Amino acid sequence: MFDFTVVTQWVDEMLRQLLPAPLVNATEFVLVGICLLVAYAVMALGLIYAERKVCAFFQCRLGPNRVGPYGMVQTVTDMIKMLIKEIIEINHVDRFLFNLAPYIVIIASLLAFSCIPFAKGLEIIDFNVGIFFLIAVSSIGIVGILLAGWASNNKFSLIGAMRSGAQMISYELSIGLSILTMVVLTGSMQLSTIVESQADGWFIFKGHIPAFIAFVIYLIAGTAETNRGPFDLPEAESELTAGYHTEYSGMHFGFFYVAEFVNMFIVAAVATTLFWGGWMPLHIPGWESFNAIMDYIPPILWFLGKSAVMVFIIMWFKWTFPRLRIDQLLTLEWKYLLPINLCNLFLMVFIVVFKLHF
Amino acid sequence: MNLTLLIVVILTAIALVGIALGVARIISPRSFNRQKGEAYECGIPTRGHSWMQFKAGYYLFAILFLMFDVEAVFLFPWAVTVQDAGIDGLINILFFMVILILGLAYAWRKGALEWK
Amino acid sequence: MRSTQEYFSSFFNGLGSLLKGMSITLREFFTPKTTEKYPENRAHLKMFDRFRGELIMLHNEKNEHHCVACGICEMNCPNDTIHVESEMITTEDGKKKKVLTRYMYDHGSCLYCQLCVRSCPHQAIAFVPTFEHAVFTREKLILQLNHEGSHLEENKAETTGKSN
Repeated sequence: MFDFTVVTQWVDEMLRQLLPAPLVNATEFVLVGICLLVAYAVMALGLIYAERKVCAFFQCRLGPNRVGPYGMVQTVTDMIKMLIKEIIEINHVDRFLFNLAPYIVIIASLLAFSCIPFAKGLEIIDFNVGIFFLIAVSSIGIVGILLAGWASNNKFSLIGAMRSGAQMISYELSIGLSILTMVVLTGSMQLSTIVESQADGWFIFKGHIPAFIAFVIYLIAGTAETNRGPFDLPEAESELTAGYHTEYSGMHFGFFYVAEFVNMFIVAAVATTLFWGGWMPLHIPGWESFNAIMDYIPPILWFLGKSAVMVFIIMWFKWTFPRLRIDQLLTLEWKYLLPINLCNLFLMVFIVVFKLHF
Repeated sequence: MNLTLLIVVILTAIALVGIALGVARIISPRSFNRQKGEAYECGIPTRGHSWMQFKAGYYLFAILFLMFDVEAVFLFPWAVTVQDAGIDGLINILFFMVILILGLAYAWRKGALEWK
Repeated sequence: MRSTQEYFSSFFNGLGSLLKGMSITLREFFTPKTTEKYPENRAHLKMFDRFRGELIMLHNEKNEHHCVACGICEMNCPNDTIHVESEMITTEDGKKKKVLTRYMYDHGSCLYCQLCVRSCPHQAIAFVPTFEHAVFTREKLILQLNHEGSHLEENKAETTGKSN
């Protein structure tokens, strides 16, 4: 399989030949930053386009199909529109916190985005407690949303932000426990190790029943965590009266919007990494020629393809189910998902200890 | 190395937001109107203070979340070494989890999990 | 306990109903979409026959219409869209007869309610399904429905008798 560290080493050597030593590190950091921004922006634009098209197809209509071939330039024009909109200054807001909220949301989103292994060696941050770091960082986004609601001088924003906060922290638990289940199966929290240990079979096949249950719970909790799908009560309020980002206009709002879509992708990408083998190709033990053909497809395409399927499932949730009320949300989490998660965790531990997995 | 990359990513995020907002402030139109600066309440003027007290239900869920999240933090190191710890480790961690599950059951029966 | 049983049964019922809902949406995802891609499909776009697009006065190949200028359509129109201009002429028999000079129809204020068509005693006017009427000034929407040099078809007026 193609190892991306080959590329990074080559760039490093070239820079060391061209530039003096202290400048090399700085240039590399700037390059990493630029690649990250480009990947983030392209992913956000692609996802918004995919959302509009998929939403339209579920609703028996075509999505954007005028701007560019099949409407592909639509999101770019939408982003330009959002840039040139006026940023309205509201009186009596807590100015510092009001401006700080988009920063926090984007920092959380970008940090989580940079942990994901897109291919062998193609990740920016690779801690040995990678998955734990990922969960911690997505909790920072909650702080951003609470700040946004609090700092807007608006009762409805505050209520929306509080509800969103309650929802997100509850489902954070479910995500943590279902990821814990998979960590039990792997024995390591480092994301690249998790992917590489799936070389002989993806985890959803290796840890059969508990892995599948953990996957379903993770997907549900993930859509609730990112305020998406049938759990979008804070946003629905913004469609009706108000929500945590009602006082934001133009690009300020654009950040919340972009962060939501990339968070959805991060949920899908983590599901791919933990359950569906990350960038590992599909190998069936015993079919050597099939495996050889599968190896030809570059790993990043495997990763993006699997993430695309996960993203499609998350969008499918949104356009099938009606919205849940806040008490239904919290009941679902505390009375159903959390007990099931704990039982599933014990089941997985039994399977690992008695070596009943594949 | 990872920690420096972490700092790089945080700085990139701040740069993204800063640059985009800067561009937006430069090329967006500005107009001043006293009514535009008011808070949004479906068109009517706002009544009362906006920074009001909020319900105790949020507090209950926050406390429950805190409890279980700290439990999850303690479970993560154990989860990494389940294979080595074996049955012994499982029994030990079971004691820990039973106490917390009793907490959840108590909250359930007492009705703390009902909204408001 | 009954509540435990309810807990589990409601859980599995709920799960089943969710999956059923998702299968319905998935089937919908793959059905072919019926969106008309106008204006690319103008060549073979056909509007259905009962669509009320524009009011016209029916003329045959001899440029004859059936309007006797009775004014019933003008009285029935809820929006004062129709103005029938007529004059009294003397025929060669010496009888005085009302004939239509101009039938003015303001397309900009028409409701397409077809009260005029239904109340016309001679079926002189009808709706056709043409729908591309956009113009740049409002004055261009005031149309004269009887063609130049057209006159009343004689034998039709004789057989239906004097209905005005």
